[in-house]
Amino acid sequence: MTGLLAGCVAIAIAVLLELVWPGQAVYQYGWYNALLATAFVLCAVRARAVAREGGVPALALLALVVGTGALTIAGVANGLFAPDPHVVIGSPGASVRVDDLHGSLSFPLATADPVVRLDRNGSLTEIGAGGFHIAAAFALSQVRRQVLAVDVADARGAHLTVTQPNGSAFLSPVLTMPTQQNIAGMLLPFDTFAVPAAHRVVKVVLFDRRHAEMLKTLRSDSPGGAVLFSVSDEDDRAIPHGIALVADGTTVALGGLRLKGLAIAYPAIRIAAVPVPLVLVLGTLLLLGGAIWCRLRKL
Amino acid sequence: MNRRWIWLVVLFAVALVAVVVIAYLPSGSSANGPAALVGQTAPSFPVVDLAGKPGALADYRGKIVVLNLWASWCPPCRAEMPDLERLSHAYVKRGVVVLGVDQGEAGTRARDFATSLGITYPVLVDDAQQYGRVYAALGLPTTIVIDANGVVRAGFDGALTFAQMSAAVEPLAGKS
Repeated sequence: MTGLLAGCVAIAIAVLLELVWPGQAVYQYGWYNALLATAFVLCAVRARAVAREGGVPALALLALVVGTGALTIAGVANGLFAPDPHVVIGSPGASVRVDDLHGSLSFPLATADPVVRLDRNGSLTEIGAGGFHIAAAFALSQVRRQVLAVDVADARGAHLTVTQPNGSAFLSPVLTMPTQQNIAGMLLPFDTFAVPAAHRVVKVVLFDRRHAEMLKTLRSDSPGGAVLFSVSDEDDRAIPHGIALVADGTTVALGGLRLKGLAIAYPAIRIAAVPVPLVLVLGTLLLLGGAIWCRLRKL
Repeated sequence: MNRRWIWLVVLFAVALVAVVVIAYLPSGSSANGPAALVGQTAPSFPVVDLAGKPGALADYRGKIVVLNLWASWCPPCRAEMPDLERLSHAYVKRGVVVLGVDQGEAGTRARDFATSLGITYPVLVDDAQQYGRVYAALGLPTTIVIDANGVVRAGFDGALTFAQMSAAVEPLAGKS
Protein backbone atom coordinates (compact mmCIF):
# COMPACT_ATOMS: atom_id res chain seq x y z
CA MET A 1 0.00 0.00 0.00
CA THR A 2 2.84 2.38 0.87
CA GLY A 3 4.50 1.75 -2.49
CA LEU A 4 1.23 2.50 -4.28
CA LEU A 5 0.77 5.75 -2.39
CA ALA A 6 4.38 6.76 -3.03
CA GLY A 7 3.98 6.08 -6.75
CA CYS A 8 0.77 8.12 -6.97
CA VAL A 9 2.28 11.02 -5.03
CA ALA A 10 5.41 10.95 -7.22
CA ILE A 11 3.26 11.24 -10.35
CA ALA A 12 1.29 14.09 -8.76
CA ILE A 13 4.48 15.96 -7.88
CA ALA A 14 5.91 15.47 -11.37
CA VAL A 15 2.76 16.87 -12.98
CA LEU A 16 2.35 19.74 -10.50
CA LEU A 17 5.95 20.76 -11.22
CA GLU A 18 4.81 21.46 -14.78
CA LEU A 19 2.56 24.14 -13.31
CA VAL A 20 5.23 25.60 -11.03
CA TRP A 21 8.01 25.66 -13.68
CA PRO A 22 6.11 25.85 -16.95
CA GLY A 23 7.66 25.56 -20.38
CA GLN A 24 10.64 23.33 -19.58
CA ALA A 25 11.85 21.33 -22.58
CA VAL A 26 11.89 18.07 -20.63
CA TYR A 27 8.08 18.03 -20.44
CA GLN A 28 7.94 17.51 -24.20
CA TYR A 29 10.44 14.67 -24.32
CA GLY A 30 8.93 11.34 -25.34
CA TRP A 31 10.80 9.38 -22.66
CA TYR A 32 9.49 11.70 -19.93
CA ASN A 33 5.88 11.21 -20.97
CA ALA A 34 6.41 7.48 -21.46
CA LEU A 35 7.82 7.37 -17.93
CA LEU A 36 4.76 9.17 -16.54
CA ALA A 37 2.37 6.82 -18.36
CA THR A 38 4.34 3.72 -17.31
CA ALA A 39 4.38 4.88 -13.69
CA PHE A 40 0.61 5.28 -13.80
CA VAL A 41 0.10 1.81 -15.32
CA LEU A 42 2.29 0.30 -12.58
CA CYS A 43 0.26 2.14 -9.94
CA ALA A 44 -3.00 0.88 -11.46
CA VAL A 45 -1.70 -2.72 -11.50
CA ARG A 46 -0.54 -2.39 -7.91
CA ALA A 47 -3.92 -0.93 -6.89
CA ARG A 48 -5.66 -3.94 -8.42
CA ALA A 49 -3.42 -6.25 -6.40
CA VAL A 50 -4.13 -4.30 -3.20
CA ALA A 51 -7.86 -4.49 -3.90
CA ARG A 52 -7.63 -8.27 -4.22
CA GLU A 53 -5.71 -8.53 -0.94
CA GLY A 54 -8.68 -6.83 0.75
CA GLY A 55 -8.75 -4.53 3.74
CA VAL A 56 -8.94 -1.36 1.68
CA PRO A 57 -12.24 -0.05 0.29
CA ALA A 58 -12.43 -0.55 -3.46
CA LEU A 59 -13.91 2.94 -3.93
CA ALA A 60 -10.97 4.52 -2.09
CA LEU A 61 -8.55 2.74 -4.38
CA LEU A 62 -10.65 3.76 -7.36
CA ALA A 63 -10.50 7.40 -6.30
CA LEU A 64 -6.75 7.12 -5.85
CA VAL A 65 -6.18 5.57 -9.26
CA VAL A 66 -8.64 7.81 -11.11
CA GLY A 67 -7.11 10.92 -9.50
CA THR A 68 -3.62 9.79 -10.44
CA GLY A 69 -4.85 8.94 -13.93
CA ALA A 70 -6.34 12.40 -14.33
CA LEU A 71 -3.05 13.96 -13.32
CA THR A 72 -1.17 11.68 -15.71
CA ILE A 73 -3.48 12.57 -18.59
CA ALA A 74 -3.06 16.28 -17.80
CA GLY A 75 0.73 15.96 -17.68
CA VAL A 76 1.11 13.83 -20.80
CA ALA A 77 -1.33 15.99 -22.78
CA ASN A 78 0.65 19.07 -21.77
CA GLY A 79 3.83 17.45 -22.94
CA LEU A 80 2.57 16.00 -26.21
CA PHE A 81 -0.28 18.22 -27.42
CA ALA A 82 0.41 21.67 -26.00
CA PRO A 83 2.12 24.28 -28.18
CA ASP A 84 5.77 25.15 -27.55
CA PRO A 85 6.52 28.06 -25.22
CA HIS A 86 6.72 31.31 -27.14
CA VAL A 87 7.08 35.02 -26.54
CA VAL A 88 4.43 37.44 -27.77
CA ILE A 89 6.04 40.69 -28.83
CA GLY A 90 3.86 43.76 -29.14
CA SER A 91 4.57 47.29 -30.16
CA PRO A 92 3.70 49.95 -27.56
CA GLY A 93 0.00 50.75 -27.86
CA ALA A 94 -0.72 47.74 -30.03
CA SER A 95 -3.17 44.98 -29.27
CA VAL A 96 -2.05 41.50 -30.31
CA ARG A 97 -4.54 38.69 -30.81
CA VAL A 98 -3.38 35.42 -29.21
CA ASP A 99 -5.44 32.52 -30.47
CA ASP A 100 -4.10 30.09 -27.83
CA LEU A 101 -5.58 32.29 -25.12
CA HIS A 102 -8.79 33.06 -27.03
CA GLY A 103 -8.07 36.70 -26.26
CA SER A 104 -5.74 39.59 -26.92
CA LEU A 105 -2.80 41.24 -25.19
CA SER A 106 -2.71 45.03 -25.04
CA PHE A 107 0.73 46.54 -24.74
CA PRO A 108 1.09 49.89 -22.94
CA LEU A 109 2.22 53.12 -24.53
CA ALA A 110 4.17 54.32 -21.51
CA THR A 111 7.48 52.70 -20.63
CA ALA A 112 7.47 53.43 -16.89
CA ASP A 113 6.23 50.38 -14.95
CA PRO A 114 4.55 48.91 -18.01
CA VAL A 115 1.63 46.60 -17.46
CA VAL A 116 0.37 44.35 -20.25
CA ARG A 117 -3.37 43.65 -20.21
CA LEU A 118 -4.93 40.38 -21.21
CA ASP A 119 -8.49 40.67 -22.50
CA ARG A 120 -10.45 37.41 -22.67
CA ASN A 121 -14.06 38.03 -23.65
CA GLY A 122 -14.11 41.31 -21.75
CA SER A 123 -12.38 39.91 -18.67
CA LEU A 124 -9.25 42.00 -18.08
CA THR A 125 -6.11 40.75 -16.34
CA GLU A 126 -3.01 42.83 -15.73
CA ILE A 127 0.41 41.23 -16.10
CA GLY A 128 3.02 43.44 -14.48
CA ALA A 129 6.78 43.08 -14.10
CA GLY A 130 7.49 39.80 -12.35
CA GLY A 131 3.84 38.89 -12.65
CA PHE A 132 2.64 35.36 -13.32
CA HIS A 133 -0.83 34.52 -14.47
CA ILE A 134 -2.63 31.33 -15.47
CA ALA A 135 -5.14 31.71 -18.30
CA ALA A 136 -6.88 28.66 -19.75
CA ALA A 137 -4.09 26.07 -19.92
CA PHE A 138 -1.27 28.59 -20.24
CA ALA A 139 1.05 30.42 -17.86
CA LEU A 140 1.80 34.02 -18.77
CA SER A 141 4.78 35.93 -17.46
CA GLN A 142 6.36 39.22 -18.36
CA VAL A 143 9.86 39.28 -19.82
CA ARG A 144 11.86 42.36 -20.72
CA ARG A 145 13.57 42.76 -24.06
CA GLN A 146 15.29 45.58 -25.90
CA VAL A 147 13.27 47.53 -28.45
CA LEU A 148 14.28 50.62 -30.37
CA ALA A 149 12.26 53.83 -30.54
CA VAL A 150 13.18 55.65 -33.73
CA ASP A 151 12.72 59.29 -34.51
CA VAL A 152 12.89 60.32 -38.17
CA ALA A 153 12.97 63.79 -39.65
CA ASP A 154 13.80 65.26 -43.03
CA ALA A 155 16.93 67.33 -43.66
CA ARG A 156 15.17 70.44 -42.27
CA GLY A 157 14.18 68.66 -39.09
CA ALA A 158 10.48 68.20 -39.92
CA HIS A 159 9.10 65.00 -38.40
CA LEU A 160 8.24 62.16 -40.81
CA THR A 161 5.89 59.18 -40.54
CA VAL A 162 7.48 55.83 -39.74
CA THR A 163 5.70 52.72 -40.99
CA GLN A 164 6.38 49.05 -40.47
CA PRO A 165 4.65 47.18 -43.31
CA ASN A 166 5.92 43.88 -41.92
CA GLY A 167 5.90 44.79 -38.23
CA SER A 168 3.46 44.02 -35.42
CA ALA A 169 2.01 47.53 -35.73
CA PHE A 170 1.97 49.37 -39.05
CA LEU A 171 2.06 52.88 -37.64
CA SER A 172 4.61 52.45 -34.89
CA PRO A 173 7.92 54.24 -34.46
CA VAL A 174 8.99 51.56 -31.97
CA LEU A 175 10.86 48.66 -33.55
CA THR A 176 10.33 45.41 -31.69
CA MET A 177 13.47 43.83 -33.24
CA PRO A 178 11.86 40.40 -33.67
CA THR A 179 14.58 38.82 -35.83
CA GLN A 180 18.33 38.43 -35.52
CA GLN A 181 21.20 39.22 -37.85
CA ASN A 182 24.55 37.44 -37.72
CA ILE A 183 27.40 39.92 -37.88
CA ALA A 184 30.92 38.67 -37.24
CA GLY A 185 29.61 35.74 -35.26
CA MET A 186 27.35 37.92 -33.11
CA LEU A 187 23.59 37.38 -33.26
CA LEU A 188 22.14 40.87 -33.09
CA PRO A 189 18.53 42.13 -33.00
CA PHE A 190 17.39 43.29 -36.44
CA ASP A 191 14.38 45.16 -37.76
CA THR A 192 13.36 47.36 -40.64
CA PHE A 193 11.03 50.30 -41.22
CA ALA A 194 9.91 52.57 -44.01
CA VAL A 195 9.72 56.33 -44.38
CA PRO A 196 7.16 56.65 -47.19
CA ALA A 197 7.34 60.44 -47.43
CA ALA A 198 11.07 60.22 -48.26
CA HIS A 199 10.76 56.96 -50.28
CA ARG A 200 13.27 55.32 -47.98
CA VAL A 201 13.58 51.96 -46.26
CA VAL A 202 15.83 51.70 -43.22
CA LYS A 203 17.36 48.54 -41.82
CA VAL A 204 18.41 48.62 -38.19
CA VAL A 205 20.76 46.43 -36.16
CA LEU A 206 20.96 46.94 -32.42
CA PHE A 207 24.18 46.37 -30.48
CA ASP A 208 23.80 46.07 -26.73
CA ARG A 209 26.49 47.49 -24.47
CA ARG A 210 28.47 44.24 -24.43
CA HIS A 211 28.56 43.98 -28.21
CA ALA A 212 29.12 47.73 -28.66
CA GLU A 213 32.31 47.48 -26.63
CA MET A 214 33.78 45.40 -29.44
CA LEU A 215 33.34 48.22 -31.94
CA LYS A 216 36.44 50.31 -32.43
CA THR A 217 34.61 53.17 -34.15
CA LEU A 218 32.51 54.06 -31.12
CA ARG A 219 33.64 56.22 -28.27
CA SER A 220 34.60 53.95 -25.43
CA ASP A 221 32.75 56.12 -22.90
CA SER A 222 29.40 55.62 -24.63
CA PRO A 223 27.04 54.61 -21.79
CA GLY A 224 24.71 52.41 -23.79
CA GLY A 225 24.74 50.34 -26.93
CA ALA A 226 24.98 51.24 -30.57
CA VAL A 227 22.69 51.31 -33.58
CA LEU A 228 23.56 50.45 -37.16
CA PHE A 229 21.34 52.25 -39.70
CA SER A 230 21.33 51.22 -43.34
CA VAL A 231 19.24 53.42 -45.64
CA SER A 232 18.07 52.24 -49.05
CA ASP A 233 15.48 53.37 -51.54
CA GLU A 234 12.03 51.81 -51.91
CA ASP A 235 13.41 49.19 -54.28
CA ASP A 236 16.00 48.22 -51.66
CA ARG A 237 18.89 49.76 -53.59
CA ALA A 238 21.63 51.00 -51.28
CA ILE A 239 22.09 54.75 -50.98
CA PRO A 240 25.71 56.01 -51.22
CA HIS A 241 26.99 56.88 -47.75
CA GLY A 242 23.75 55.39 -46.44
CA ILE A 243 25.19 53.24 -43.65
CA ALA A 244 26.24 54.50 -40.24
CA LEU A 245 26.98 53.08 -36.83
CA VAL A 246 26.15 55.47 -34.02
CA ALA A 247 25.88 55.42 -30.27
CA ASP A 248 22.42 54.74 -28.88
CA GLY A 249 20.43 57.99 -28.64
CA THR A 250 22.57 59.90 -31.14
CA THR A 251 21.10 61.64 -34.22
CA VAL A 252 22.73 60.92 -37.57
CA ALA A 253 22.09 62.43 -41.03
CA LEU A 254 21.86 59.63 -43.57
CA GLY A 255 20.36 59.27 -47.05
CA GLY A 256 18.42 62.53 -46.74
CA LEU A 257 17.04 61.60 -43.32
CA ARG A 258 17.90 62.52 -39.76
CA LEU A 259 17.69 59.32 -37.76
CA LYS A 260 17.78 58.74 -34.03
CA GLY A 261 17.35 55.45 -32.24
CA LEU A 262 16.87 55.00 -28.53
CA ALA A 263 17.01 51.50 -27.05
CA ILE A 264 14.51 50.86 -24.27
CA ALA A 265 13.59 47.82 -22.22
CA TYR A 266 10.01 46.92 -23.02
CA PRO A 267 7.83 44.03 -21.85
CA ALA A 268 6.91 40.99 -23.88
CA ILE A 269 4.77 38.12 -22.67
CA ARG A 270 6.10 34.59 -22.44
CA ILE A 271 3.36 32.00 -22.89
CA ALA A 272 4.01 28.46 -21.75
CA ALA A 273 1.49 25.64 -21.66
CA VAL A 274 0.63 24.07 -18.30
CA PRO A 275 -1.51 21.06 -17.43
CA VAL A 276 -5.20 22.00 -17.54
CA PRO A 277 -5.84 23.53 -14.08
CA LEU A 278 -9.37 22.11 -13.77
CA VAL A 279 -8.08 18.58 -14.34
CA LEU A 280 -5.20 19.20 -11.94
CA VAL A 281 -7.55 20.29 -9.17
CA LEU A 282 -9.95 17.42 -9.79
CA GLY A 283 -7.15 14.85 -9.99
CA THR A 284 -5.40 16.15 -6.89
CA LEU A 285 -8.62 16.14 -4.84
CA LEU A 286 -9.45 12.58 -5.90
CA LEU A 287 -5.91 11.43 -5.19
CA LEU A 288 -5.81 13.08 -1.77
CA GLY A 289 -9.30 11.87 -0.90
CA GLY A 290 -8.50 8.32 -1.96
CA ALA A 291 -5.14 8.32 -0.15
CA ILE A 292 -6.61 9.62 3.12
CA TRP A 293 -9.50 7.15 2.94
CA CYS A 294 -7.09 4.25 2.29
CA ARG A 295 -4.82 5.23 5.22
CA LEU A 296 -7.76 5.71 7.61
CA ARG A 297 -9.09 2.25 6.85
CA LYS A 298 -5.60 0.77 7.25
CA LEU A 299 -5.27 2.37 10.68
CA MET B 1 -15.94 -3.79 -8.91
CA ASN B 2 -19.15 -3.88 -10.95
CA ARG B 3 -19.57 -2.95 -14.61
CA ARG B 4 -21.26 0.35 -13.80
CA TRP B 5 -18.14 1.64 -12.04
CA ILE B 6 -15.92 0.53 -14.90
CA TRP B 7 -18.06 2.41 -17.39
CA LEU B 8 -18.06 5.50 -15.19
CA VAL B 9 -14.28 5.43 -15.01
CA VAL B 10 -14.01 5.01 -18.79
CA LEU B 11 -16.41 7.94 -19.34
CA PHE B 12 -14.46 10.04 -16.86
CA ALA B 13 -11.21 9.29 -18.69
CA VAL B 14 -12.71 10.16 -22.08
CA ALA B 15 -14.08 13.43 -20.68
CA LEU B 16 -10.68 14.28 -19.23
CA VAL B 17 -8.92 13.65 -22.52
CA ALA B 18 -11.49 15.82 -24.32
CA VAL B 19 -11.04 18.63 -21.79
CA VAL B 20 -7.25 18.67 -22.03
CA VAL B 21 -7.17 18.46 -25.83
CA ILE B 22 -9.78 21.23 -26.23
CA ALA B 23 -7.83 23.40 -23.81
CA TYR B 24 -4.86 23.50 -26.19
CA LEU B 25 -6.85 24.11 -29.37
CA PRO B 26 -6.48 27.65 -30.71
CA SER B 27 -9.63 29.63 -31.41
CA GLY B 28 -10.55 30.06 -35.05
CA SER B 29 -11.84 33.59 -34.82
CA SER B 30 -9.75 36.70 -34.84
CA ALA B 31 -10.44 40.28 -35.77
CA ASN B 32 -7.46 42.35 -36.75
CA GLY B 33 -7.10 45.92 -37.82
CA PRO B 34 -9.31 48.87 -36.87
CA ALA B 35 -12.45 46.69 -36.67
CA ALA B 36 -10.90 44.88 -33.67
CA LEU B 37 -11.90 47.78 -31.40
CA VAL B 38 -15.61 47.72 -32.26
CA GLY B 39 -17.66 47.77 -29.06
CA GLN B 40 -14.81 49.18 -26.97
CA THR B 41 -14.43 52.68 -25.58
CA ALA B 42 -12.44 54.75 -28.03
CA PRO B 43 -8.99 55.60 -26.61
CA SER B 44 -7.98 59.26 -26.67
CA PHE B 45 -4.55 60.86 -26.37
CA PRO B 46 -3.60 64.49 -25.93
CA VAL B 47 -1.91 65.84 -29.05
CA VAL B 48 -2.01 69.23 -30.77
CA ASP B 49 -4.13 70.79 -33.50
CA LEU B 50 -2.85 72.53 -36.63
CA ALA B 51 -2.36 75.74 -34.66
CA GLY B 52 -0.25 73.92 -32.08
CA LYS B 53 -2.93 74.10 -29.38
CA PRO B 54 -3.75 71.03 -27.26
CA GLY B 55 -6.43 68.78 -28.66
CA ALA B 56 -7.70 65.23 -28.35
CA LEU B 57 -10.46 62.93 -29.50
CA ALA B 58 -11.97 63.21 -26.01
CA ASP B 59 -12.81 66.87 -26.73
CA TYR B 60 -15.52 65.63 -29.10
CA ARG B 61 -17.31 63.34 -26.64
CA GLY B 62 -21.08 63.66 -27.12
CA LYS B 63 -20.68 63.91 -30.90
CA ILE B 64 -20.57 61.14 -33.47
CA VAL B 65 -16.95 61.23 -34.60
CA VAL B 66 -15.56 60.03 -37.90
CA LEU B 67 -11.89 59.68 -36.96
CA ASN B 68 -9.70 59.66 -40.04
CA LEU B 69 -6.00 58.79 -39.78
CA TRP B 70 -3.96 60.18 -42.65
CA ALA B 71 -0.58 61.48 -43.78
CA SER B 72 0.40 63.87 -46.55
CA TRP B 73 2.51 61.29 -48.42
CA CYS B 74 -0.45 58.90 -48.74
CA PRO B 75 -2.23 59.21 -52.16
CA PRO B 76 -5.43 57.38 -51.07
CA CYS B 77 -5.69 59.78 -48.10
CA ARG B 78 -5.55 62.72 -50.48
CA ALA B 79 -8.19 61.13 -52.72
CA GLU B 80 -10.53 60.52 -49.79
CA MET B 81 -10.32 63.94 -48.16
CA PRO B 82 -12.80 65.80 -50.42
CA ASP B 83 -15.43 63.20 -49.55
CA LEU B 84 -14.65 63.61 -45.84
CA GLU B 85 -15.03 67.38 -46.25
CA ARG B 86 -18.38 66.82 -47.96
CA LEU B 87 -19.45 64.47 -45.17
CA SER B 88 -18.55 66.99 -42.49
CA HIS B 89 -20.85 69.57 -44.08
CA ALA B 90 -23.65 67.14 -44.89
CA TYR B 91 -23.93 65.77 -41.35
CA VAL B 92 -22.86 68.70 -39.18
CA LYS B 93 -26.45 69.44 -38.15
CA ARG B 94 -26.96 65.82 -37.18
CA GLY B 95 -24.20 65.78 -34.61
CA VAL B 96 -21.45 64.27 -36.75
CA VAL B 97 -17.88 65.57 -36.62
CA VAL B 98 -15.11 64.55 -38.98
CA LEU B 99 -11.78 64.59 -37.16
CA GLY B 100 -8.57 64.14 -39.12
CA VAL B 101 -5.46 62.94 -37.31
CA ASP B 102 -2.18 63.33 -39.15
CA GLN B 103 0.18 60.46 -38.38
CA GLY B 104 3.81 61.10 -37.59
CA GLU B 105 4.40 64.33 -39.46
CA ALA B 106 5.41 67.80 -38.46
CA GLY B 107 2.53 70.23 -37.82
CA THR B 108 3.71 72.56 -40.60
CA ARG B 109 3.57 69.77 -43.16
CA ALA B 110 0.09 68.70 -42.04
CA ARG B 111 -1.17 72.32 -42.04
CA ASP B 112 0.20 73.08 -45.52
CA PHE B 113 -1.36 69.91 -46.88
CA ALA B 114 -4.78 70.49 -45.28
CA THR B 115 -4.82 74.10 -46.45
CA SER B 116 -3.92 73.13 -50.00
CA LEU B 117 -6.93 70.79 -50.11
CA GLY B 118 -9.28 73.34 -48.52
CA ILE B 119 -9.98 71.13 -45.49
CA THR B 120 -12.16 72.89 -42.92
CA TYR B 121 -12.86 70.03 -40.50
CA PRO B 122 -10.66 69.84 -37.39
CA VAL B 123 -7.28 68.17 -37.78
CA LEU B 124 -4.97 66.96 -35.02
CA VAL B 125 -1.25 66.28 -35.38
CA ASP B 126 -0.09 63.04 -33.76
CA ASP B 127 3.65 62.97 -34.36
CA ALA B 128 4.16 59.97 -32.04
CA GLN B 129 1.59 57.96 -34.08
CA GLN B 130 -0.27 56.96 -30.92
CA TYR B 131 -3.71 56.90 -32.55
CA GLY B 132 -2.40 54.79 -35.42
CA ARG B 133 -0.94 52.23 -33.05
CA VAL B 134 -3.88 51.95 -30.69
CA TYR B 135 -6.50 51.86 -33.44
CA ALA B 136 -4.50 49.03 -35.06
CA ALA B 137 -4.13 50.77 -38.40
CA LEU B 138 -3.08 48.31 -41.09
CA GLY B 139 -2.33 51.14 -43.48
CA LEU B 140 -3.42 54.67 -44.33
CA PRO B 141 -6.04 55.97 -44.49
CA THR B 142 -7.84 54.33 -41.59
CA THR B 143 -11.28 55.49 -40.53
CA ILE B 144 -13.01 54.81 -37.22
CA VAL B 145 -16.64 55.66 -36.48
CA ILE B 146 -17.31 56.48 -32.82
CA ASP B 147 -20.77 57.05 -31.38
CA ALA B 148 -21.85 59.86 -29.04
CA ASN B 149 -21.03 57.71 -26.00
CA GLY B 150 -17.44 57.31 -27.13
CA VAL B 151 -17.81 53.69 -28.24
CA VAL B 152 -16.18 52.46 -31.45
CA ARG B 153 -18.95 51.37 -33.82
CA ALA B 154 -16.99 50.64 -37.02
CA GLY B 155 -13.45 50.57 -38.36
CA PHE B 156 -12.30 50.70 -41.96
CA ASP B 157 -8.94 50.08 -43.57
CA GLY B 158 -8.37 52.01 -46.78
CA ALA B 159 -10.07 54.89 -48.56
CA LEU B 160 -13.87 55.19 -48.38
CA THR B 161 -16.31 56.76 -50.78
CA PHE B 162 -18.91 59.30 -49.66
CA ALA B 163 -21.58 56.60 -49.95
CA GLN B 164 -19.63 54.25 -47.66
CA MET B 165 -19.05 57.02 -45.12
CA SER B 166 -22.72 57.97 -45.16
CA ALA B 167 -23.78 54.36 -44.70
CA ALA B 168 -21.52 54.12 -41.63
CA VAL B 169 -22.79 57.26 -39.88
CA GLU B 170 -26.43 57.24 -40.99
CA PRO B 171 -27.63 54.72 -38.33
CA LEU B 172 -25.97 56.79 -35.59
CA ALA B 173 -26.75 60.32 -36.74
CA GLY B 174 -29.64 62.23 -35.20
CA LYS B 175 -32.45 63.80 -37.23
CA SER B 176 -31.70 67.18 -38.78
